[in-house]
Amino acid sequence: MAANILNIVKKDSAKKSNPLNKEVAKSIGEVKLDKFNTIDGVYDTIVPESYKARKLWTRPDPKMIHSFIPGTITEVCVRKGDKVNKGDKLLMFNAMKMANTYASPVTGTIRKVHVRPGYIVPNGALLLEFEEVEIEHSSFIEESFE
Amino acid sequence: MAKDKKVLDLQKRKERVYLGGGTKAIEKQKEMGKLTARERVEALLDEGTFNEYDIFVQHSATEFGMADKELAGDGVIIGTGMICGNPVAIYAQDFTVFGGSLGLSHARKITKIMDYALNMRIPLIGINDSGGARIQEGVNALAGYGEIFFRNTLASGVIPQISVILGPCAGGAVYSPALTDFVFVVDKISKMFITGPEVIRTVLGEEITMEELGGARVHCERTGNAHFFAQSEDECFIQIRKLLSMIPQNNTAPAAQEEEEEPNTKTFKISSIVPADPTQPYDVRNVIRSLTDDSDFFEVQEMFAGNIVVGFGRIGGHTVGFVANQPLVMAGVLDCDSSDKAARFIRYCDSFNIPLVTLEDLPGYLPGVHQEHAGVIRHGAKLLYAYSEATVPKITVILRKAYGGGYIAMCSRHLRADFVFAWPGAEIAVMGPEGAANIIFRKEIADAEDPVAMRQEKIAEYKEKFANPYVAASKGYVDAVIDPSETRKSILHALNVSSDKTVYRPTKKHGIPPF
Repeated sequence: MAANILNIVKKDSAKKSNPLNKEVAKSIGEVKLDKFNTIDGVYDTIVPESYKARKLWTRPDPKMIHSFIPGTITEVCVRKGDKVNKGDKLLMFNAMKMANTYASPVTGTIRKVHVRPGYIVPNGALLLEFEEVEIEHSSFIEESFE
Repeated sequence: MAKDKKVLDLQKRKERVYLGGGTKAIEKQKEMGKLTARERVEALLDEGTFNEYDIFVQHSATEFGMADKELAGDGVIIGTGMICGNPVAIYAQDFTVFGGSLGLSHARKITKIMDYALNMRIPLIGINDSGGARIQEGVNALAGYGEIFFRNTLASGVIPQISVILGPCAGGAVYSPALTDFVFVVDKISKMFITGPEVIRTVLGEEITMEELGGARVHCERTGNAHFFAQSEDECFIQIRKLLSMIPQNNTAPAAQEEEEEPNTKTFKISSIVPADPTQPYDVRNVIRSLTDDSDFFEVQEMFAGNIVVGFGRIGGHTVGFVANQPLVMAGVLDCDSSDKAARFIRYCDSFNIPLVTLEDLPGYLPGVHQEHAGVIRHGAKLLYAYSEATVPKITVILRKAYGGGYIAMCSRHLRADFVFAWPGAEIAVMGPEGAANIIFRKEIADAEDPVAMRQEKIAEYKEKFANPYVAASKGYVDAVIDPSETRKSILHALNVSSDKTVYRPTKKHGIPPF
């Protein structure tokens, strides 16, 4: 099996670090330069904090139920151990001046409830956990590169 | 005698209006470090040129105890004046009068001066300092905002519209600045948001201060809603005057032609700014300064999406708009924000007949899930759209790297650049030598005894054959490969020969840019 090209690139770029041209260093003044990786090489450049702080993507766990809009929980309709079908009411919440229903996106057993009526939740907050869920065909395409 | 009495009466009436919301309210305004609306107008305009209208306009609301409330000028000042000898229309909201809140009469004064500016084809300046809609006037206040937004859109691309945020600008009110061409903010004074900290706290439980939510810095660095940042109101007014000196009065007038001045080539020596190694950074603004008259460059959105630089400068006395990749920040890659920033600036220049000079040096579009999911496809497409759509003279100079999609996007011949120049060190290729070697010679590299050495060899081979300006020049995609020291001369000549540029495009109502 031939070596993975990306590993070769990684090995190669790790050791690479050209000193900054003196004249360039003078002209750009006192700035903090970082290594910035692209497919076309490693660049010495300013990498803004906002870019460094970006959240790296992880595949969502279907067992974890998160809020999709900020709001106030008004009713929790399930308890630990409950068996829930896809489409069943999990909880009710007020958001954007509307009463909303949170229907279960999966079929499974509730493992833990993280919220109570009255809780104010931001977008993306963990609301419920499932023990195990029946996963329908995933809409995510399995990545098969390399 | 009788006449004198009437003049005296006029004087008295005027003085009452000039007092705005009264001495106490003015004191409070000063405590916040702010000038009053009238002081602002006087400070911005050429001395003694301000002519005010509608000072006796009153509101006609009767509900909620409004019937017996008299509001000086209904909380806004409108008029015309001069900036550097050129006419402008201006309005300034007066926070001392009922919090500068916007009611129907207030809005009608603003729309009156907007109509005036549009008819007279002169720039419009709006100074915003208002608590928002005057709730007591109900839907009439909303109607007022809507009328303003409609006129902002109507005037867009016809006259320059400048918004100055010198206080709060909240709720619906923020959409007028958002529809205008340039937004000026001042540190610690400007605040812009749709929903304020109070609502956010009660509804969402998020604790945030006004400054953190929508202060001047936030809008200059993070959101890109503002274009110019100043430490003080006075500095802000200098910036506005500077901007107006660079741009035309309307979309049919040319920008003022100045006397040609040579750049300061001692400080900005063009041949030694750009390092030969394409992975090393430099400040592209120094390249711009090495090209412009008196090395003067007026940057727009300096603090936002620093990986692209946009702004105005003069070459041979003509105002040009510069768009330049900035290798100093994130290697100069294109991403969502930098594409947005550049596309908008290009459309501004095109609307107002300002020729575009593009300085290119970028490795391409920024990879990553973060960017893909943020919609880099549609944001990046804005740049292609704006360049392709622009009919002003378009001059592109390839300084160093021009790889892949970045090569096409940065005003290539294919998007109808009129002149494409490349420096001898330019690398114009479908992708960078490293990336290309990885793909083309994948098998050779992987099978080699020393894959790292083999890869370097193949990179060198690719560089030698393809990463130069001559392949593109042999196809006519590059018009001329030039010595860096000839750049200013080449651009100036290109500007001179294209001053009467005319192109024909299919008739349409309007295109559908990837908003």
